Amino acid sequence: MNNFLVLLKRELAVNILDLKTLITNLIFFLLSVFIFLLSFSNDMKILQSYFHCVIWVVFLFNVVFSTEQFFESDFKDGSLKELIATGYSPLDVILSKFLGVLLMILLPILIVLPILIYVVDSNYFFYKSLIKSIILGGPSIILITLIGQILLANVKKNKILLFILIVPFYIPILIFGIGATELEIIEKSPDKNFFILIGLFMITLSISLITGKLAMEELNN
Amino acid sequence: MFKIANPRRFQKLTEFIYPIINIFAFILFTIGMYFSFFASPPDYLQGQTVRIMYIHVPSAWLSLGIYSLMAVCSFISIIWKHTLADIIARSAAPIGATFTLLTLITGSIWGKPTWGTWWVWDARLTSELILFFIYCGHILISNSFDDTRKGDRAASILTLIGIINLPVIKWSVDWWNTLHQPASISKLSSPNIDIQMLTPLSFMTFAFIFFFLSILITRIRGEIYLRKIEVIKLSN
Repeated sequence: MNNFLVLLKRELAVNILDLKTLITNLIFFLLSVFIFLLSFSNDMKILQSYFHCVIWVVFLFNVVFSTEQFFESDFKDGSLKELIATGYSPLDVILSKFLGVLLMILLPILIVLPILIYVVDSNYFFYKSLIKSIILGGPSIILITLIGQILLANVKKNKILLFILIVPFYIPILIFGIGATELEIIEKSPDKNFFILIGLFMITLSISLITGKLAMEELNN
Repeated sequence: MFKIANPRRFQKLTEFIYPIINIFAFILFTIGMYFSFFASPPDYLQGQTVRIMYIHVPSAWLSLGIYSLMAVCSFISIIWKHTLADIIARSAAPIGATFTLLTLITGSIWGKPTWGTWWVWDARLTSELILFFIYCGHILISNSFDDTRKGDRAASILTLIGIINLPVIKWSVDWWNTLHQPASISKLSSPNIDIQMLTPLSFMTFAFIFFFLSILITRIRGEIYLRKIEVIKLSN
């Protein structure tokens, strides 16, 4: 536990100091949403029925692009190998990175999201299920992306390959995440989907920890 | 089992069984084709188009079966680090991808006259498409490393993550309301399919399995020779 806290502190210290990346990620998120919305018509009804899809897809892209810094830079400068060599468990490293990404990427998005929703459409009724689904589905998305990053840390120019590898695993989360808001739109309770999202997170967490550990050991061979 | 896992012993064994498998595949295909085209009746609703089933269903089963085989091989590769398991997984992936594509294409051709559309975003169809992308990912990742061994390791880890997709496909019929008919041959005791159609389907399924084994063995032998050449090149 102590080791984990030390790693988490390190993760936050490295990334919070780098305010530039935090701001860049947020601007990327906001700009992508606006570009998507500009490509739709100005009709508020259309906007209301597709807004949650836009947010989810932009969120996925944001996670794929922004988690890169968490593993690749550590792998390139050798600190990842050093951490393992000095006795930190790969599981602690993965979990600390995961929490780091949660705090550095998911949290800012969750803070900005209500404001964004209000600015885009002040009459948007379905924000509750949208925000809840991102809170419950986001961690699974981040875990899957992190595992992809570890697997491909050795490969040059890996962004497109990473995308091809991990997108199939996003699909169930995307379906149930977007489905939650859809259910609310047709005036049904989205709770069922939230429970499924929690279940998917449990499955993803256990699989990610096992495979992540294997991938980390392989990385350090 | 691990006695055969030695590539040299495997080569010797396959030299013996490869012709037998080919003969079996040929005989089963001949009988299966005869039954599919001549000895089975057209469906009372779908007419002659039902005969697509004799290709569609075996390739769909194989697309899932090959992925399970790859998952078992990945498991063995991760635990016991057997090179042959890696080679089997690597050789099986493109064949699996082809069968998945065949399932999707024959499904589309079958869907047009029966459902009135080439493609719907139904659970099973989508899952099969996802499986195809997972196969593509496996092929890409195993070939993107300079060191083949590292590529194999990464691919086997990816397969283990992907195995979660198989139950999703299997039970997706129950999860979502679907246009696709539920599985007809799931109940071993009393299948919902008529014996006249079950006979060609069974023959074709076994023919497909032997055909798959034949291609797989050819690919594995090729892969073993490639690795031998690599070792010789390195030692010179």
